[in-house]
Amino acid sequence: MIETGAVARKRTFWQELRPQALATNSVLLAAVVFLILFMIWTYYLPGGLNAFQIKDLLNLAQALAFASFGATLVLIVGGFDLSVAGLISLVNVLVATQMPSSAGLAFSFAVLLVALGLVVGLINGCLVSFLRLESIATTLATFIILSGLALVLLAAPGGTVPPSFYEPVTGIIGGTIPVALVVLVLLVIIWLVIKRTRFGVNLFAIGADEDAATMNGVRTRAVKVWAFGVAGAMYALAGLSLSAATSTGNPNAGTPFLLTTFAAVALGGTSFAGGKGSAIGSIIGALVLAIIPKVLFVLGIASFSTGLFQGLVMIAAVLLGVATAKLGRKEES
Amino acid sequence: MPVVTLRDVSKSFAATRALDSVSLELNEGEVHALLGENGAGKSTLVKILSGVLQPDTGDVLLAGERLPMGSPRDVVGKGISTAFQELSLLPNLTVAENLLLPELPRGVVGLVSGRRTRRRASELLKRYELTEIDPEIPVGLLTLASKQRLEIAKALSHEPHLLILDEPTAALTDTDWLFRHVAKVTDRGGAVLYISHRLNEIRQICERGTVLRNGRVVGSFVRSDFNESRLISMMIGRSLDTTFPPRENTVSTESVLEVKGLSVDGGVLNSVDLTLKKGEIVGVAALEGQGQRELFQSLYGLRRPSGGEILIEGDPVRIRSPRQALKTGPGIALVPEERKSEALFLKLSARQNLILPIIGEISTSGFVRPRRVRERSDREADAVNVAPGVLDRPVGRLSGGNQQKVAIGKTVLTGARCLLLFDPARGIDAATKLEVYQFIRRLVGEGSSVLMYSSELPELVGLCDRVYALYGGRVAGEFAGANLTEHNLLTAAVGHTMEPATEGGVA
Repeated sequence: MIETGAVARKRTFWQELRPQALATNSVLLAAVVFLILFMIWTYYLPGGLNAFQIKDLLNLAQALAFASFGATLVLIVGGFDLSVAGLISLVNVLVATQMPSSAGLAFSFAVLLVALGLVVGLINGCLVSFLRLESIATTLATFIILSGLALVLLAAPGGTVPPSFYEPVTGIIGGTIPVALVVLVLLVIIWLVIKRTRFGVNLFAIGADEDAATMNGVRTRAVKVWAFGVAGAMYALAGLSLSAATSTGNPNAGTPFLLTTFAAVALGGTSFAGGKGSAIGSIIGALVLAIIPKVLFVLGIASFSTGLFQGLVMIAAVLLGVATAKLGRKEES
Repeated sequence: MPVVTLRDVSKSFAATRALDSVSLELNEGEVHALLGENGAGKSTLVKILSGVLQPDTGDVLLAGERLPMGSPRDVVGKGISTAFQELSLLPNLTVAENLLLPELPRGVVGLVSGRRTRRRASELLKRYELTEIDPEIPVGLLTLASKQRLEIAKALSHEPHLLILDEPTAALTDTDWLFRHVAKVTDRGGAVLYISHRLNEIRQICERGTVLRNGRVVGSFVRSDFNESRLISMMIGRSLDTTFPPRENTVSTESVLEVKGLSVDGGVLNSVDLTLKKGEIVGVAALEGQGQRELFQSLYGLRRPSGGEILIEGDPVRIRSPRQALKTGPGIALVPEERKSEALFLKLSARQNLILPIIGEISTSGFVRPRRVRERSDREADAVNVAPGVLDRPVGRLSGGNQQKVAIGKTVLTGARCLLLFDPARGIDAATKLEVYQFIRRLVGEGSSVLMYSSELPELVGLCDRVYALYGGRVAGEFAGANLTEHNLLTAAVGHTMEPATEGGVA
């Protein structure tokens, strides 16, 4: 902990942009990384940037953005939630096998699935905060159960997603604005709202020191349960988004998310130790991970090296943070 | 009129009785002192009153009504608020948010209103004369003194019927501010429970007081019969029933460890000088949080001091890590305070724990030789009196006494001959204590040196050749021979200046 005088003051906007501040503001850092990749991509893009290209990128990033948003809530409160991958698989399978084809019913069904996600999350939360179970172990179990359930419902990839559902959510409004962009902006707004609720402040309080939060009168158990609950709803949304993007069912659809979700969160600077983080950072992290294969494509690098480059970018982002911190210290002295 | 009444409150943790039917009345408009040595039960009492812990038996009545137990939120709602010794502030939230938790002011749409939070916090900071604190910065950036003021202001801001202050001046240099605001609470009929080791403060503001020892009320006083010596005797008690091994070894004149002007950031340690000679047991007497922890950590390379020198056998050294400490001069080793988390691997057997520091010595080309493990661990277990029958059990299953013997044995096996023992006899039974004392005495007889902190004064008086008292991060006295008495030690350790210590003054 830094010990400065009691007269320490809040940083102004411009001070936020100095290297030393940048290092502590990991959201900004992730945004810088994304912008660099975005510029490389648009520079080499044959035919230049258009709304369809952006739509493509965002549709790819959206599911990951939802998933990492949810995971961020749980990480801030000091927990760990692996059920994300299981819920995505289950929701994907349910959409591919059970979703009614008429538009109205399809969207009602989607709402039902979000409610299912909420319930699964609340169950996770109750197990973790009332029975005091280890969150990694509990949600790993939930992950296995949900994946198993997905396999029971759909043994092999297949099924179809009704066009009445995926067409509107993956399209472009008026030929200029991709629906996915609207969704991502909404997600950012939701985060800004959550941060300004008492619930949001309590998340950070509990993550920093659960005992101290209790002493402050925070209802720690209820807040934790809801953090898992909202996260569950977000994972269901991720599942819906993935189903719309792939328009097919796969009982293992969620499994890759087990790692990429936390990679996106880490890129966005959320602490795995609790008490610090931002869903906006995680959303940008998801964008970074989604743009990497596109950048590789325009550069003519084989797509199977995507994983390699995603890992390298993560390390580069961490290094950039350390380097700017050093730079900032030199500047100060 | 009592505001709060405690009736026969008891609380145990496993086999330890932390509170043993404590009854207490806290009256309207009164500042009531709660006194006792470390481990007397004060903190447990505070935690029960603030709703953090539930008592096993007994009642707490607030204005004649039973207090809801075990919920800090409900207790604050009923009008009891606490400024905790360990501080309950959240470092990642702003000053304003910390002040107003958990009911942050909301705007029209139900969202937390930054403007109202700020305004309300600024009002509170102004009311409690803390305008130098910016309500918008994270609490983690404040100095310790500012944090302590903020913790107190937060407790005051609930306008409680009972205000509990647990060591409120631990990080505060002047008491005027605190006393002014305490007076406002009592003026409007509130009661204050004031816990402090500083008898000067208690004499100044407490009308009455209660002394705890071993979880029991052993005495009380009113302002008119305040007598520091009597209070100190009450706190110590007179039950010195352990026999200490005789001091038969001779202390050599060569110094093994010398500390000159050692300081740690923020004045936690302030220019501490001490020496430890070959074959000597030197004690450190201090109440909770006077810098003893930082002193031991600095000597073992766990903390970088901000100033001063450490000399080992006359040569200045910089100790950067425990590994280096073990290799410096005669080897410096620490038996830490938290044996369960810092000294032992609870799931490994006692045998494995013992031989871990010398694992390289008893292996051949990287492979551990089971027979040699057996031989060496048997020999060492015998030296520290651990029964051979328990050696193969996980150390976490052994009694506290056996655990401590394994922790000490393991440290000695490193070959270090300058041992730092942090409260080596804490939480173990009387018989084992005696064994530990004899073992320590035997070690110095063989030419090792021991620097030990103990929370029990009789132990320091009975076992040590010389004792330093620490107070507020400074050496408040050095005692040996006839001057080494519990009374003198406690007098120096509470920062009491009326009877000057014979050797070394109060800083």
